Amino acid sequence: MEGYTMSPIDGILDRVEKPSRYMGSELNTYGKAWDEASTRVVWAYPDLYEVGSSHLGLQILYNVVNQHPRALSERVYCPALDMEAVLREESLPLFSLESRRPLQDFDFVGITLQYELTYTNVLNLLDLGNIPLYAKDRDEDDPLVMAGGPCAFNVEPVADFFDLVVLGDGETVVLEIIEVYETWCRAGAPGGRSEILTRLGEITGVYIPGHYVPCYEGEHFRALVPKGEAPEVIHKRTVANLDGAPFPEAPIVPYVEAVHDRAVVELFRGCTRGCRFCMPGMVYRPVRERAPETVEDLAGCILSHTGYEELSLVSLSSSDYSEIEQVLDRLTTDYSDDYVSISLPSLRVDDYSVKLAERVREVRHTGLTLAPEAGTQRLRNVINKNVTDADFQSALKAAFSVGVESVKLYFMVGLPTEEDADLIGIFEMVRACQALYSEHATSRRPLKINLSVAGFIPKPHTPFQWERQLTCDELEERIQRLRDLLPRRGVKFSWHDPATTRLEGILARGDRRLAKVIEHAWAHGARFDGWSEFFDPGIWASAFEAKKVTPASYVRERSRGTPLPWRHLSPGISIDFLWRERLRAFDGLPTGDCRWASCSGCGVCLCSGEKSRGGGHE
Amino acid sequence: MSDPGMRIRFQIRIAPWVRWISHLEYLRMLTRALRRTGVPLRYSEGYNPHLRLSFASARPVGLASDAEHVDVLTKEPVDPEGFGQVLDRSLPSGFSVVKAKAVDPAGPSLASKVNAARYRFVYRMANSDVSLWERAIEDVRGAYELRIIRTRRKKPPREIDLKPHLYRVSVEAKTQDQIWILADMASGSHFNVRPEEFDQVLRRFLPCSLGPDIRCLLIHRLDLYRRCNDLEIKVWCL
Repeated sequence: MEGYTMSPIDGILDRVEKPSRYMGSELNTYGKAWDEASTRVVWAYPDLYEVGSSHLGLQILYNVVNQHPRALSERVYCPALDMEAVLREESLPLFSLESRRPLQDFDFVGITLQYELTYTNVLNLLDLGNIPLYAKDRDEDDPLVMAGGPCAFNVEPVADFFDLVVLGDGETVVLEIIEVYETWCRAGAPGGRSEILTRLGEITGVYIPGHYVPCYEGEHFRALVPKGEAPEVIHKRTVANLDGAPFPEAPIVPYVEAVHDRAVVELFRGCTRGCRFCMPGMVYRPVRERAPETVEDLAGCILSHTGYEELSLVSLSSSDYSEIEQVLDRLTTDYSDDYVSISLPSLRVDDYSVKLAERVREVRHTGLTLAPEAGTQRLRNVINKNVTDADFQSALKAAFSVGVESVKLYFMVGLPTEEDADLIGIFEMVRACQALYSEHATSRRPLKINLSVAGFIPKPHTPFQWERQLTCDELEERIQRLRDLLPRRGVKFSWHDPATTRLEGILARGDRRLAKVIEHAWAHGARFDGWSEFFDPGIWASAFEAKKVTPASYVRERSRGTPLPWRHLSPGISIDFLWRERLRAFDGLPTGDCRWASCSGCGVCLCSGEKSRGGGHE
Repeated sequence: MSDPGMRIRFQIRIAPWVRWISHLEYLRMLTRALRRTGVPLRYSEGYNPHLRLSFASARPVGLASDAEHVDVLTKEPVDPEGFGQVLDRSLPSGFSVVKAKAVDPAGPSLASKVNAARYRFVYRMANSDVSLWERAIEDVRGAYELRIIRTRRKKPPREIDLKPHLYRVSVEAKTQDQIWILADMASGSHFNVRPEEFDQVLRRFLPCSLGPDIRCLLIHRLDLYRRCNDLEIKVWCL
């Protein structure tokens, strides 16, 4: 008689909370034969399973590689603290979910950098996977560790940990990487690790950090000098036609409830609204729309392969999709009998958007979410958030008249040129919201307002990349001021911790000297820094001190001529455009969206040889 | 007008390697598997319509099972066997349909009728002798009472005597390095013995010298049934 076979991993799963995070074998996963694969890639998301499994980008890459005839790809997420403790105690390496092999056994480990505060988790993934932290310490047997995602556009603080970095859309580059790797392997791996890195560096969009040497002048970054043939500037990759681009028709359906537990179809990539604080809006230009027929086909395919009860039409600003009304109409007609609800995240602040949401009855379910970002027209002009008080009020009226009784509002504090009047402006918008409710509400219940405030962080490749970031004390003071202004009743006020905001800002505009600081913080227990319950500012303070790095130098204001550590990582946006936008910001001049207004000269179309496709409802 | 819909009872098997999913995760998985079949099923009325499923019992995380019985309501008449096959194909790997059958729509709920379960406890026994286990089982059978302290969420622990709720205990099989113990016990809303409580009790009668050998590797639910005056009534006959 056959006994039950038990792996060492089964023996530890009953000791952790939520063991299904590490179980694998979810619907629509691949289980390709290890020994038959020419190239083995493990995709890693440096956060918990429930966060990482919702990430669309890695799902796309997972499918692209697994559809390759000879390559295979698997997944791994950051273990929670309890699992980490058990793995370390049992000296078990972190393993992939599919074949349960240590990360070290793969040819490539691809880590997505979505958020600066996951950097200590990146180190934890490498360390638990038995991979040397620094690229320079890896040898022929170690995997090639690659990065991608928005933070790749300033990967410098973690550049030393990566062998290669991909800028921009990854779905075609990854196949080129596999091809180069296969060719090199078939030739008998000539020249070893350094040769394969040189070959990979010849692919457009691939950055090899080891081919550059940084130099500093006192406290300040001076330059990054290319070695040998390495290019001065690395240009991002762009998928020109989304209709031809791969998209997971049978995405993985997690067992653990994911943060976005629903089917997802991407309407378009990029955004040209031009909000001056927004890094994705700058680095992912131009706008590339998926045709409505492709959107509808994908929706049908995904729903039948997953059984999801909800379909989300995502993009950076979904109400800007050219044929949004037609698509919504057809989808609601097609799936109303199947108990599928449709959601539209990232809506603009106006009544048009609210009516769109009402069309799918979403607002009644979830309440209304609006992000005016700033409290006065003056400041909204500075940041180019083209929302007027009239837009805001018409959006609210539209929502209240269909029975909405809760509103979520997102604002930023610490924006360039912000004054007390702008904080008072936020308070006035809240009051206006309450007044409109008593006038237009169809519900008898009291209005609930959730007001959420984030500290402004100047991000690379935005018109505000030269700005000073407020200190913790200054931020604290403004948040306190706002808190004092707001009515106590009916408003739930929440804010991002200023210390977290500051660290994110330091890492966002950092250079390679921060690698030692991140390593020190990680070695002293920093994990999940983006989670307020785990963030420990003390660990970071001592890390900066121990490594003699002045955090303040990273959040200071920089002049036009200051060398920026991310200058060589090009999203195709011209620096003159960014500077021009900065000057217009301080003059309080908005800049139109090039889909409807004239070209703003950002440079991306010239750079990529593409023209934005778009239209909008106007 | 009479409802043309049916009540279909089906039994799911959860393989050992997917036993780590929680009951809530299982419910979500099953809902989506049912939706993928395309069979017209009945949803609840109201704001957030959900599938009308009723479970015989909630399964604790980590329990492998051959006996997850569920009732579902259809909108139209369906062939139960065909339904079982379609659902089986729709389930993710590690889950399968053991059986599917139409039951009386007006009959009692599964949860109200099931009161007993049969489990297989798998132990590692590299150096132990099967006679030690047989003796321990004799001791469990012969004990006057079997008191344990039950921990409860958000409530103080409580002392309970398991003895009247254990129905049958025996050695089921022995492999190279595993021993399988079969145990029947109360299960359900009236009284529920948690499988790990039986493990706790059995260990007391094993010599301490076995040390690390006595580790319960896995618990496998083999069946659910109704026990009535020492008679066993299958779920399918309820």
